[in-house]
Amino acid sequence: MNPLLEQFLSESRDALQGISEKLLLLEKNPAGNDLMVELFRLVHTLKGNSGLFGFPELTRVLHAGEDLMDAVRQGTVAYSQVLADRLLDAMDFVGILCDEIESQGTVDAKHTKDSVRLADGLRALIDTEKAGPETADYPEQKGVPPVPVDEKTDLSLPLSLLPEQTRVEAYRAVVAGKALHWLIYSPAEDCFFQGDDPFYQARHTPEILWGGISARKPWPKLAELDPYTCLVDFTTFSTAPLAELEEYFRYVAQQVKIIPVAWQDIEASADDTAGSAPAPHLPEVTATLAAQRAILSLSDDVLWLSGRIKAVAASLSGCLRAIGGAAAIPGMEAARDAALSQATAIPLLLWFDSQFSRPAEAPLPQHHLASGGPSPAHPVLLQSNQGDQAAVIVAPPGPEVDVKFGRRAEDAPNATKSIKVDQAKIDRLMNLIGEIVVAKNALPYLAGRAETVFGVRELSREIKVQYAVINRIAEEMQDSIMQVRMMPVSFVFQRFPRLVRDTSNRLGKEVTLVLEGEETEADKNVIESLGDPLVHIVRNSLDHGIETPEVRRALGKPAAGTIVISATQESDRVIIEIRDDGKGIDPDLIKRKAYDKGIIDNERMQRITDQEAVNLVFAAGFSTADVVSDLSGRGVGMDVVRTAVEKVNGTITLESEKGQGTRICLSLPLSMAITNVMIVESNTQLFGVPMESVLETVRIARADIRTIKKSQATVLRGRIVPLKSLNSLLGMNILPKANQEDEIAVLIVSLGGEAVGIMVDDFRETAAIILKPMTGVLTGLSEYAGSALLGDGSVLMVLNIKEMF
Amino acid sequence: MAITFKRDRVVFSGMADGEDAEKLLQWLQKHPKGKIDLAACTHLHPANLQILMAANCTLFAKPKDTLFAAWLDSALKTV
Repeated sequence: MNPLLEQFLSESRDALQGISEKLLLLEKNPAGNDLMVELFRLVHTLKGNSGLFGFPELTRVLHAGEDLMDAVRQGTVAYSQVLADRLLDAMDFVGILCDEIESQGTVDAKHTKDSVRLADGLRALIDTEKAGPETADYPEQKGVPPVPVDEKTDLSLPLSLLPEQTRVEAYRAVVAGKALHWLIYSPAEDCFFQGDDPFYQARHTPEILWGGISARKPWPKLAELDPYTCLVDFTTFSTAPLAELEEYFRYVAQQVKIIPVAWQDIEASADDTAGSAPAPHLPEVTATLAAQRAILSLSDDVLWLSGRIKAVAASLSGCLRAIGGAAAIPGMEAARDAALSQATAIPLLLWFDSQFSRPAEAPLPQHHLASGGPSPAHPVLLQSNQGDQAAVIVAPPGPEVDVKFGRRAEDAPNATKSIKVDQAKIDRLMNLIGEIVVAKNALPYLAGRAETVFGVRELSREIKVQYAVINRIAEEMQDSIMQVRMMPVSFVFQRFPRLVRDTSNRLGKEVTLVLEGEETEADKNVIESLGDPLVHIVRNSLDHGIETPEVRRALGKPAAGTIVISATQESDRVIIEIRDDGKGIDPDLIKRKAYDKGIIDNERMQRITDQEAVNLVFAAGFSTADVVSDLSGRGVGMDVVRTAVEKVNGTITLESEKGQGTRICLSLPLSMAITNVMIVESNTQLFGVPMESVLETVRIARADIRTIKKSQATVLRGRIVPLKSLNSLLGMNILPKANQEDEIAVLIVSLGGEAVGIMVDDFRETAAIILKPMTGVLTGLSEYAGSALLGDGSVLMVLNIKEMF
Repeated sequence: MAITFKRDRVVFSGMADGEDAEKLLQWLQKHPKGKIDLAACTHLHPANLQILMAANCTLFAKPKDTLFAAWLDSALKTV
């Protein structure tokens, strides 16, 4: 799942939570205008966000919600209980979709129908309120439009239109166990302006058997015809499963009616006999059921209502037994009891429809309706007046009154998997774990003391065993807290597509941006510190690296330049590489400029390599305006970039080939919390040297150390390495001690890409420490990067190698 | 050109998009008896389609694409 979507889901959850809260507050204080505005804003944001990710179901419901809240905000629609219910329902639905997106990455097309229903339900509220604003103060008592129920059956299907060939194919499909579906696609009138071609879409209906075109209404005179208002409907006949059809038409779900067709209907239409209603059960049972349905739909205003309900219930229970549906009897009885207690047939009617909706969904020929035969089950409910519907909705819910998307308090199948935590809490946890790491390091000392001072070897060994256990746990803890702080680099990368697009448009250049390894993770602080330097580098590449399309063509390069930003992990470091295929940097120009600026002297200018020369752009003082305009332009604040990178213990290198492009490489630590240091001893004191600057440790015989003028140096594997004594670097006038073989311990460190040897008395172990920066009056001592506590309680000073020379 | 207007007929070829719908409408108003040749046509934008339907056109030549022709059968007459 891409991080943008992840963020969307997490934000949506927050927004949904916010919407529920606001709605509940509104319930207590319906006049709260601020609440209303806030509510609108939340729904609006959510809808806007959802549009980014092709989830039409989500957007459709939210759009309807937004329209409704807009009307409420402007006072054209009053807040009501029903409104809150519908909105909450819609938001629950959105929540369900979010869960589904999270678990499966997509929204199942089966939700399309629900989304249409919910959206229509929300919109219906706008329309009625507008129609009758005078009743708006008493929303509970007025006719509230029903949440539309699936209306399917009141359509006559011109099945007789089907050519013989299609019938044969349909028959084959039915024999093969496929479903038949009749689709009516009535495109929106303005659909052409949205780039839709409904005819094309209809023609490509999955598993289409037959298709027809019909005019929506009689054609106007040609002179009055607007060719760009869609006035045609498309009808198709398909053998594809319902889900596939819903999926195919999901973007226009509101404009498509999908009607299942039974083979009998086709057969009947072919024989041109009066098609009977599809008979899932015996004809007698069907007739009885239809009669009960008709009875239930009669007016409730009769004295003998309770008797009627009981009679219907008795008939129904007989029918259920006859068709082997005895299991449904308790549900029916519950509905009957509800009906009796409320003195209305509606609960039973609803139960009836939920129980027998399957056969009722199959189409009924129109003439059947007109001829006054047994009333078909479904449409009656639709035709009943609005008051009844309102009663249904306000009444205490009978069994299955409404398909709720309720996930109120009862169940939380998909509890959120992420929590938001204040960073300060994580930092505190981090510090505590750091202390554990230090505290645990005291155990080996203790073991050593137990053996040497108290002479209890047994105890010493046991302490060491315990230490191993605690060590393992502490390391895992440290590791997991690091994971918590980890963030993918996509967090900074995601701003680049936009930046590159805008900048390149402004500069009239064509640039393709390639992002690689966005999922690479690093500590939050590291990632955050990356942002500005990267923007700087990329902007430089765009501005001065990539040539204009004409120049590029003339050079035989593709017109569009490429900038690649890639992130990879190398052991405990993140490597960020930014390369472009632009014109690169001219080292001669850099050398001359650096010389003019006094950054290098004449001698250095003569012997400096091209590679070293281009890295001079990082030198402080190199970034001045005239350099920028004359030069290829790199150097604009490159020293700022370097400083920012070094602040998080990173390094930056630049390689460039004139005419071929530039490659800038940032190497950053994965995490800044724990520093690995090499401990060395000099003049009986311990010092830490950060591992990233240590190249190797060697012991050099004193005889091999040459003195050239006043400096010392040695030859290591054919290269001259300058040597310095740590004591002298720290201002102590003591010579380094040699060991018994008359060798001096030399720590080879990397200093700006060159190897330098530091002579010390002895090497100690390496340690993972929590580096505390120098504070107070010690801040000025730039030779030290900070201090750390060692296991035995002593303080270790960590050297800042770069500042020592 | 997906729609070619000739002296007495309109010839559609390939995918006839909606760009020329206005032109088609005007042409049909001037030539109510104009012939409609869809033989080489593979798809009609619904804007074109509904103009042909509204003008109650008779197809001079059906599309060679039989599936497409079957669709049009339900809406347009053929000579």
